[in-house]
Amino acid sequence: MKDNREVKVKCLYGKFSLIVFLFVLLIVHYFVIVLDVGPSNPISIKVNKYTSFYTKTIFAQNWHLFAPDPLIDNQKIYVQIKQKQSSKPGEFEDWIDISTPLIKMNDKSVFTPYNRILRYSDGLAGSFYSGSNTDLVTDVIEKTKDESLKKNLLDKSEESRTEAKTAIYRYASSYALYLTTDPEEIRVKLEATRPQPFSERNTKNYVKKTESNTFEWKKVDKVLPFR
Amino acid sequence: MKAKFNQWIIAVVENMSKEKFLIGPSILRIVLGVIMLYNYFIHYFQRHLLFSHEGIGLFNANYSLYDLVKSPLQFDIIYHLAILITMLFIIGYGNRFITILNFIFYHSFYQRLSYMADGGDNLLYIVLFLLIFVNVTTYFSVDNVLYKRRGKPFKHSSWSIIIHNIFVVAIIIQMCIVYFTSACYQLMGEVWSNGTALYYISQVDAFSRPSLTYFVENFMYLSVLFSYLSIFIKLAFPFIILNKRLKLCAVLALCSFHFGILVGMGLLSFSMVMISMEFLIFTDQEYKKVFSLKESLKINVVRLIFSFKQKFGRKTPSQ
Repeated sequence: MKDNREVKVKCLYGKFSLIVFLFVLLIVHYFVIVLDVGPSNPISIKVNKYTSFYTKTIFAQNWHLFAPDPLIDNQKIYVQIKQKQSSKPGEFEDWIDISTPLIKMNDKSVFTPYNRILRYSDGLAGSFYSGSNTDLVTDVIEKTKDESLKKNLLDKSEESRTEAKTAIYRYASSYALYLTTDPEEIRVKLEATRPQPFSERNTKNYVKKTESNTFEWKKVDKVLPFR
Repeated sequence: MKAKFNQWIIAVVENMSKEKFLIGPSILRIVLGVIMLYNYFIHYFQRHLLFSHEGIGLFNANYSLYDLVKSPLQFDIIYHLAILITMLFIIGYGNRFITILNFIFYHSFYQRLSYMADGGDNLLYIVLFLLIFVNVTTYFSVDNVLYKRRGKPFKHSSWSIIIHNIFVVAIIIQMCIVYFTSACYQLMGEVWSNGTALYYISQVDAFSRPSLTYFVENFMYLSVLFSYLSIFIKLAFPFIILNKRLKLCAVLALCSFHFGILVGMGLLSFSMVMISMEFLIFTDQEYKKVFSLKESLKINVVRLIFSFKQKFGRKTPSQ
């Protein structure tokens, strides 16, 4: 009888310890998460090395969700193709807009695979322009006096831009292979169109500002053709 | 003093050992499973192009099963296994074992989404990890049916219930962090502060459908109001859900907001993941209330039809 009661008491303390342990874990975990995902502040900048180490695997998260500044530029990717033996010489010599067909497909239905693919090309262009610079990284680069840290962050950003450029070529190569069976070289152009400002919304024939970035000719990557 | 402390411990343990949130996680299991299945199937014919090494993506090793793949056949085996496991997850078979496998396979898939991923995918895989510790097969599941057939009650140990309850709270806190931080970022943004965010988003072809453009062009001032409302409801969400009466309003407002994103911006899986998370907010008692209301409504409707027939129905010759 006494043994039974002792087991019950032990069990009760065991359960209570579990509750306390899990709640402490929860508080510490979400404290780290809030420091990592929230707007940057002196504390989050100071502990960023540790918080990002903790969150980089399973708990990696980003809740900017179109904020503070939503994407407002229209990014388009153009491709120019040189063929090996063209049956119709000069067929793909002009710039081909490979973004608009996807936009049209996306507008047709909500249930479409092209929604994500459209985001892929948009994300690539965005990543090429911004590198790996999040708000926090930009803040640190601007404010830090530690030159080695600054150089390290700038190098990482450049690495991200190079990676994005490589991915853009793979994407464009895939589209070139979809358009023609024998592409030899391609050239890519990124075009960003600024929106019509809110104050100018009633101006008819408003000409939107456009910036473009043309890359060099490159051999077509060995990838599957787009579908 | 010690006796009071012991009583407090007993009260805490008893309270945490009560089954309060079992229906919500079971519904969440089904809805999240369907969303995952949608993600696998919508890209089924482009799977090699988008997710394999022969495709367009550049994949850095990040604990994905697809990194182990050396041929298209092996890739297909993993992809189809993932679909099968998701199906088992939906029907609620294999309890925790399938939930763990499902997390591993979907995490692998998520790593392959790279630039295509959105906030919904991010929240989905974090929640899938937390769901490993939650009892998700208590309701609407094959496991439950199998237990009943064997004549055994589908009961969880009090240890399991404690872990379950705390991890349900963890998922709800995660949701609150999502809404609160994104609203904080919105407050920092110029176009959100001056209410023109929807106007600018409607000009981005990749993130706006014709319906959003039409809405912004024809109801400009309403779109400004909606920009502010989206910030307000997200900021208020963590506080409103603490109130039993108001939480339904918060859930309805957020569901409408995400439905708007679905129709206006075409972000189907993002909106559906966000909407499905709301199922966790309600307790079993609240769900049972809704079910009993539905049942009584059904009975009343049948009674009404019966009495209507008796009053106005054609009389038979014998009558």
